[in-house]
Amino acid sequence: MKVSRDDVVGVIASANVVENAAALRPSVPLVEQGVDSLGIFNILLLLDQKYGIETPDEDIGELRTIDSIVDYLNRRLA
Amino acid sequence: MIGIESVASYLPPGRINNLGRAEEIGSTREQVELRIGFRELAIKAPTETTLSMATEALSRALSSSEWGPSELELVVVVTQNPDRRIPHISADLHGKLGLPPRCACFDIGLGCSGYVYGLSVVSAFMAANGMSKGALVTADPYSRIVDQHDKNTSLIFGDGATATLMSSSPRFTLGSFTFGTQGAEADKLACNDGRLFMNGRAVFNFAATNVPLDIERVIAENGLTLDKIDRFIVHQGSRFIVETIADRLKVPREKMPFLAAQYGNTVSSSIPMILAETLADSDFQSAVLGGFGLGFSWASTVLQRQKVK
Repeated sequence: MKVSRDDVVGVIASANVVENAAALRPSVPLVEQGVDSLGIFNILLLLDQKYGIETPDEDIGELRTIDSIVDYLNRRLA
Repeated sequence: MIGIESVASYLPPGRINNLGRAEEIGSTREQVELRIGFRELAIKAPTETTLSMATEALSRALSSSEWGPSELELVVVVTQNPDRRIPHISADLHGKLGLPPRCACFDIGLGCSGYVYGLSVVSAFMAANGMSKGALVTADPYSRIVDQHDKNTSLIFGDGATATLMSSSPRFTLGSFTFGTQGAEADKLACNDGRLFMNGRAVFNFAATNVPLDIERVIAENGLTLDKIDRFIVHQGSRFIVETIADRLKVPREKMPFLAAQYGNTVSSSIPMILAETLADSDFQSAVLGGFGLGFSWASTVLQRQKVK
């Protein structure tokens, strides 16, 4: 089953690091929408736990937007 | 039963203004205020030492207690930044305060989990040796090893010391303890060549994953449930980690307060620093203590207030 934008937005909402996760623009970097580095850590941990993967530090650079996170997860889970 | 009689603390008067220098370090005022949480960091004067801070904390504890220094049978110091490697700093502290010859002294080399480990070690040592009065001292000034230009560490650590008097007729008893170590990750928070290195993401993942589980475990092992705990006093690693632990446990944030905004993460002193401020608050009957950090290591226990003697 493919990971969707809604799946990732749902995880961001549960991380409680931004006022309204549903309003985030999917192709704009999260750090430009009020999510700081600590918030990113929490989102990545929740994603790792939800999908049973371990995202290495060196991959964080490519996880800047909701769309890039969706693509990354689908590649990892393929 | 050995438990806590009282707790005293010492914060050096010097402060670093984190809000004022946030941009310069590569952070923002908002991140400092809302995430990291430490508006200011306590910093010792160049003339202050680990020993002088430990001495001040223990002197304060003794001066506000009914016991005199001559009654102490045990002094244990938790630190990883002693002024010198040999001898153990607890012996220097013993000499500085003129403690009695029959007082046992030793050090424990642990970081942010050190206070809770120390409570277990001191209470067990006192019980095993028939002692009735002891002291657990924490003093670990990280300003010695933090690079003040390192974004990952320079906005976090503050200097401080505490002293906990422990007795056989305590005001607060200690429940059973839980402990853990994730040694494979130990180099993610380490001092190499005199400089502290921290992988913030690894520390966050470790704490957010292990500490809530350990708190649930210690509560169960003490025959309690989350709703029976009045206060959760966890290591003040950052505002974000304290709030994340509270949220993961579904505990109201006001029951697991972040109280270190004015002085920083004082390592093994962070939990007793809060105890020193809150033990007089008679509203709480039970509290979970949760220490975690270097190692990666963690330890938890439950405090119960005893009826007034």
